[in-house]
Parts: sequence; C-alpha cells; structure tokens
Amino acid sequence: MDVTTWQSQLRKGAAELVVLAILERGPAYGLEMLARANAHGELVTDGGLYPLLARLEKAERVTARWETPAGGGPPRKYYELTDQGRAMAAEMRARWVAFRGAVGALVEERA
Amino acid sequence: MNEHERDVADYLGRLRPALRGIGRPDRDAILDEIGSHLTECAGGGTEALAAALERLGPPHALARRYAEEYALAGAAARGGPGRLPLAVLNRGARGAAALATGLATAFLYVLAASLAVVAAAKPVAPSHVGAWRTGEGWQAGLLAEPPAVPDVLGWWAVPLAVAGAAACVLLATALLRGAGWLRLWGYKL
Repeated sequence: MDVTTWQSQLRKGAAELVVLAILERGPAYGLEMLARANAHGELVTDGGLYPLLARLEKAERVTARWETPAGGGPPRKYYELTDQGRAMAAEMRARWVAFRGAVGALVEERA
Repeated sequence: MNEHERDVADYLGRLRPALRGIGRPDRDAILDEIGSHLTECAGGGTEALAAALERLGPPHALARRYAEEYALAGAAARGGPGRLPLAVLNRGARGAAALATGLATAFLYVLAASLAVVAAAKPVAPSHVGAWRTGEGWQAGLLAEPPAVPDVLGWWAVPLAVAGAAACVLLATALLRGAGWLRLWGYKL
C-alpha cells in the first residue's frame, strides 16, 4: 500500500468521528460541515460526506430537516445528533484518544 | 436554464440511474441533497461549480459510495446473517482487513451450519453421530462408518452441537457488527 492510499484509509476511518464531533457543536448542513472539517487540512471529501450522512441518518445517529435560507438560495438539509449519536460520539472520542496516544507514543518516539 | 443549471442537471441525470439499487424515496432524497449542494456551489461561479463537481467525483463512484453505506446501514440494522457477510465482503475489496473479517465470519457461519446438521442428524441416525476415541485418535461428527468403539458423547452431542452453532453465530455477528460501524482499515478496535 502506498502512502497516499494509506492516508486515504486514515481519512475514511476518521470521517465519522469528525462529522459527529462537528454536529456535537450544533446543527449543520453539508457545505458547512465540509468547511469546518477541512479548515486545517482535508479530512472529509464531498463524495464521502453525503453517503456517510445518509448512513448515519439510517442508523438514527442523526436527524435531518430542510430549511430555506433567509437570504435566498437553494434549500439546505440540516443535520443534528440524536441521543444515540451523542453517545456514539462520546464513545468514539474516548477510543480515538486512547488510539492516538498509543500510536503517538510509538511513532513520535521513533521520530 | 442557464449553463450552471444545465451542468447540475446533467450530473443529477447521470447520478439517478447509477442509484438504481437504492429505493426511490432514498434516491429522490439523495438527488435533492446533491442538487442543493451543487446549486449552492454554482452561486460561486463557473470555477466553483467545476471544483464542486470534481470533489464529488463521477456519478457512478458517488452512487457506489451510497450503495456501500446503505448496505452497511441496512445490514447492521437488520442483523441478517446473510446480508452482513456480503456487505463486509464487498468492503473487503477496499481493505484486506475487511476481507479477512468477511472470510472469518463466513467460516464461522459454515461451521455453525455444520454443527446444526450434526444436532439434527442425531435423532435420525444416532449411531452415526457422536465422538469416538480410537487407538489412532479422536473422530467426531456425522460419520458414514463410525468406528467400532463406544460413542463418548451419546445424546450430549445434541446440546453440545446446538451450543457450538449458537456460539459461532454470535461470534460471527459480533465480528460483523464491529466491522460495520468502524471503517478504519475494516476491523474493530
């Protein structure tokens, strides 16, 4: 596996946690989530976000509603976390912190 | 219809047939959302829309992502033993770990089926089902020609086979549920 493919796999694995973490801060729609997720580097792709949101909605981790912006423009589909989604986000965050610590202790020590 | 609207309509027109494996209400919802996304991006001009189309990827690739996510969501929700292995094996094409998980669970389901056959066969052919210790070692299961030594298990073969089959199904389902929600390298942490 080359580095680019490996990095792509890393992003895919982290995408769900990233999206749940963004929605923990409040409801958001697709373009908003992409802007926040990718503010410091590409974490979530456009082509990956919307299918992921569809699965989260099917799994009842998020709910969605359509809103028309006050200033005009096309309607936007806003998502927000359900109680299940909040619980999932908390559990994923805890596992992520432990995972990051374990990997960092090994990788950063070598560096 | 202006040029941007034509470009958006063209993309959606190619996306719709690519989503044919997804139910109509979900398909319409996907088209509405992608259409809204592209229309808002088009408000930033021709280059913004072109960049948005590139970031979304070709319609068939986007449709495949949706199909994979729906398959995982649907399989995990229904918990069906047939659907989950297929969904994870499909993911296995994109990750060796997911493929290993799919193969392991498929093996466990086959083992469970074999044990179920053993349990069902005992009442029908009791002398052909059991476990036998011979001078050459152990033989167990459903045998056409069992050895000429006493069956060690007797009727205990039935509950043991049923319990073994149940354990295999539970373990396989646990493996698949873990692979279903955590997509990082296709295995459960």
